[in-house]
Amino acid sequence: MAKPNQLQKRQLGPLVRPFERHNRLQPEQKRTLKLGEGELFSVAIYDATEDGRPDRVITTKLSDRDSANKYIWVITPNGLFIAYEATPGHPNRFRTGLCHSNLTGGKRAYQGGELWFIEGDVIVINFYSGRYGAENKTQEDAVLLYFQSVGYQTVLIDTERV
Amino acid sequence: MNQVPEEITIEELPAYGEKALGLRPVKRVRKAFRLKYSQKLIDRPVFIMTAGDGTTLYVRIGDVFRKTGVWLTKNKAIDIYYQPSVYIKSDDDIRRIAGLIGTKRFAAAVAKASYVLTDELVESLFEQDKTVFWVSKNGKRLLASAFDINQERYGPLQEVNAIQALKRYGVSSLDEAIERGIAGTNG
Repeated sequence: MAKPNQLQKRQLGPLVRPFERHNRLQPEQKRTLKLGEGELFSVAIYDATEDGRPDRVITTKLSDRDSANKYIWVITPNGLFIAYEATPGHPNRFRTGLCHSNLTGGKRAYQGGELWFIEGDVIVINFYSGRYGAENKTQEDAVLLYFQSVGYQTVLIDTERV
Repeated sequence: MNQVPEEITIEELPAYGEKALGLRPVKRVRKAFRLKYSQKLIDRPVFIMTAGDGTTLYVRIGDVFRKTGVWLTKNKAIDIYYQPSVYIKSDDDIRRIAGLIGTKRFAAAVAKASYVLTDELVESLFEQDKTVFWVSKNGKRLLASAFDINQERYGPLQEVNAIQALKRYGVSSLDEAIERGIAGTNG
């Protein structure tokens, strides 16, 4: 598997610009990208579309997930892209780390979220992205299937229920 | 409103308020740069913050231009004075507040307050802010959007305005909610 096929694209949801889902729901308080957030930060981006897991990643234990070992991901028409959030040298003036739109250059994406590499070929993902985050269960399920289709066999979903 | 001269010093900024925060210099610089480089004006004004000594923060206000991927900045430098407090625990919190409120509003308010950033000033900025957030049923999660999936997952959501959210969760949680869509989870 590689880039999302037509069926996957439909299930992943329409392509959206950063904050488009939020802005559609709350048009009276439109959010926009701030300085640097639309810059493509190519050096930090790993293309996980064809071969899944990067060779060298920061792994952690399931119970030790935090911002220091967190990656962010986006799914675009070209596939799955991952970056370490705390990559130094990022262009964002108002952020302490990379944001999802640094993985797309401010362009459209289907979905975005966070990811942790767990010891033993396991990953944990969630759908937390203010810019591209999922808005319904269908999209979340489609993300899970797409991760599995590009090579991540054991994917745990991190959505804490109350 | 006083006529804003072509050149003003940092000390003179408060006397002119928001209008002085870039409009005159921007017009002048923008034209010059257009003539010379055909550059695109990206944003104004902009802060480029560097670490201070714990009570001050070195901040630049200016205009940013971009030409073939190269950032060029015309800056004026000011110091913002602050004491670590309820809302401002570090330089990063000031950066977050500026991002949440908008640089222009933030700059104008700080300039009017003689560059002293206090909790009262932060509260006054958020009182005027129209942004709303949502709180989960148990109050542990602050959410930026009332998507269906959020209501399914976190129960009926309670709408709160920016100042209520600030007082309850703090600056970093507001920023986190905008960035991640949710605050109060791991990561």
